[in-house]
Amino acid sequence: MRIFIAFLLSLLALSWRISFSDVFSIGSISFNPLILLLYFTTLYWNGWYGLFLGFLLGLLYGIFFPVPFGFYSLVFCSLSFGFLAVRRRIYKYKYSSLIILFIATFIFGVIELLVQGLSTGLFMLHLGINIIPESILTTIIGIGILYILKKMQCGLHLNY
Amino acid sequence: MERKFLVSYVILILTSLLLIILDCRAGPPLGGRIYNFFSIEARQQLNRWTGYKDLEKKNKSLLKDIAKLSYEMEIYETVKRENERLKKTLEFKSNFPLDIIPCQIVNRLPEAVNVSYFISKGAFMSIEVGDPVIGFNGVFGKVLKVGNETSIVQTLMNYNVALSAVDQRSEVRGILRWHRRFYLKGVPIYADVKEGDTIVTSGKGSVFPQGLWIGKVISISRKESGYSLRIEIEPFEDFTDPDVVFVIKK
Repeated sequence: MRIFIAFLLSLLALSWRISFSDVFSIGSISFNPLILLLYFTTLYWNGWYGLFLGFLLGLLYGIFFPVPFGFYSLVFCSLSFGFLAVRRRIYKYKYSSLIILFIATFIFGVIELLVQGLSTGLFMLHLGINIIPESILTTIIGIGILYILKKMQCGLHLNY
Repeated sequence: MERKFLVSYVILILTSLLLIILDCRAGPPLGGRIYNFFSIEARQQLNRWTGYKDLEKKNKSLLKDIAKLSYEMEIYETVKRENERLKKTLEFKSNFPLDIIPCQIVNRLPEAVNVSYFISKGAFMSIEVGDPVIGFNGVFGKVLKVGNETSIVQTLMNYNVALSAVDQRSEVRGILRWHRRFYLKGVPIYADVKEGDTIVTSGKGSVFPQGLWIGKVISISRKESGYSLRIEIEPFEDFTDPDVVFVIKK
């Protein structure tokens, strides 16, 4: 059941990223639901789910872009593994831990720009007007999600 | 970091790399092919399916239309036949030299051998027992019984019938009888009768006027007794499925 839910969430995030990203954007800035899902799944739900979800998401996401099949699996798996690698070194319920999410979104954005083969000027332009704002927006949404998660945790403690 | 995570990560990374290598070697990108499959072929399949559903709907609608049109066509054909029949009846009535009453055949009497019919006119139309009845092509029979609104007509296809008839060409007389087939009886062997001769009423009986067509000679043979000819007649009138007949008023 959990795997099914994870799969559904990944499809939802994927369709959001592919189809509705432009619709639900602030100017040219939109958040990255894939990284958000990967981050919160890996750190707050289950590390295994995060790892395999990253692989699956990468396979599905790669279909829509002219990159070798499996390329994004490599990227998402690595990001997921990165989250797993730092999870012991951060306190995940502190808002400052979301800097990891910001960095991951930024790295993913940079990789996306790199595969497009843009010139240096355009690369820097996109970095400034798209990638950094996207990373900030994703982090802000991550703050909201973490707030809800903390509330849920708090509720559990109170019940206890 | 747990070791099992590391092992899984390495396996997944190796799988990804393997996919990348395979994809780079094998012609068009696999991702593109999958995308095309879902975006084009799957859509085409879906369109085909929805098109098929539309066709099914159209087909049902057309079948309904066909059924409706067939029904209307049938009505039209019936009306057309009725119209033609009435036209023919009126024309026949206008051209016939005697006073005749057109009657519709209502039903056949349930007799196995003799053929008789109910007709749609009776005493109210001044029809009387014994009135001669003709069809479009010749003699049909005579009125056997009369009710107020219907009558019974006994056709020539009856064992009791004995009608005085004459060869139109040679004026040789005989008696028309029915015994599974029509025969002209009582004609001597030396009489001048040929195949194809037209046989008409002689007017000698009390029922039919002279000169009404009965049929034509189709075969002539000598009877075993050797005194008379066996002449078979084919009637002009169809007694099996008539629509309209005419009662001649005397």
